[in-house]
Amino acid sequence: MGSLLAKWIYPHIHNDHRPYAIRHQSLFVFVVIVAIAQIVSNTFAGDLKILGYATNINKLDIIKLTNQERANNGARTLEESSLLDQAAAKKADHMFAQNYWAHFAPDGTSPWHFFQQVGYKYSWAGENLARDFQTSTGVMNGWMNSTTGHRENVLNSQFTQIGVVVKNGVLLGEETTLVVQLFGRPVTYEAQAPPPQVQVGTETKVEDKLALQAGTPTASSNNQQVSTTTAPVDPENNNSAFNIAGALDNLSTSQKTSFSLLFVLGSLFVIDSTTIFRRRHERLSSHSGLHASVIFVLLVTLFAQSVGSIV
Amino acid sequence: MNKHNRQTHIVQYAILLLIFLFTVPLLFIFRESLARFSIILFLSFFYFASGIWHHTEEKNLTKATVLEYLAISILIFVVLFSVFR
Repeated sequence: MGSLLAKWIYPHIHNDHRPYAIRHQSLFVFVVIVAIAQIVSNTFAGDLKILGYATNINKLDIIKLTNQERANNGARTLEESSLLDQAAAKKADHMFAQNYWAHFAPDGTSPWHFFQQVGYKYSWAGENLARDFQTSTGVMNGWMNSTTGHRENVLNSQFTQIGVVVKNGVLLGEETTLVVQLFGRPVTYEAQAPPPQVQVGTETKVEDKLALQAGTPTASSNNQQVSTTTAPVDPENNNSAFNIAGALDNLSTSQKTSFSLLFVLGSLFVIDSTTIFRRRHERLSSHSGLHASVIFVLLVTLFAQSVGSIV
Repeated sequence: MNKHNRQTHIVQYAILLLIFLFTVPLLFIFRESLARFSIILFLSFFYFASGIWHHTEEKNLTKATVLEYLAISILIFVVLFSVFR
């Protein structure tokens, strides 16, 4: 058993100094395994993509994680509102149709327009947006680590209801998964309704994977009039630092599968190249050290693509 | 491997890696599908071609070597296309 394993992973005389696992036949099998693993992972995630990574974001997880965060911070549990779900879906559809990434549409349509469209009368309302995340945990981490209003929305004790939609589509020329999270406190909830107030979080987006879209639009509404202010980005004060734990949380199942397979293959090439180098062995084959380096670049790229950053 | 060959080897290795390190970030900058597809295709083909060229120059190109570079090139394409699709 041990000698068989050695033949597969370690260069020595019994495998002609070229491990079976990194010969061209095995490499082609490996490529097929990577492709099949993606298809299987994507199918389990409910997405029939042949290539490409399906996200692991779903509405129920977002609501559950939001309530967990609220429970941890002593805020009441939010109940799901079908009206807010509908409003969130309308907002997402509007963003895809009008091709914008902001709380307020280019034509001036406000987030509260969608509350009104579905007949949701509120005394408090809020909105969080996210895109390009891979997992529900990644989205929640992005919002909870935000210093520009998302965390406050999630933990706001004035809210009693929540609505979420997760939609795939093409936004600004890029295929993306959009998450719209709406919060509300219906006027019927209160015996004495205070003046309407609204609160908008900052849209959380991996913009160019390094910096998020700028701005902290906030709106206060009285008699349905809203005003917005936009805070400039402070490059010294952003929380877009590379967070390995956060990045791992945001890797989807199919990404984790590819990541693991590449890591194994890269390790095999490292073992092979270091062994051959130590022995100063001349061999007729491709260069394992080069393959290992390129696989390392692929691993970093895969990891970097999953990192969310916010300002 | 003599000293001259080793130096050539290292230079070629460094050039290939540098081209990868400067080209991959372009995938984060350009968001159009066609641009990304072209970059990924270029990287895959470049890896394959430079591997073949290197071994041809060293006069040790074999069929197995060609197939190994081909497999890794396809792997590069599959992974990058999946990530940036």
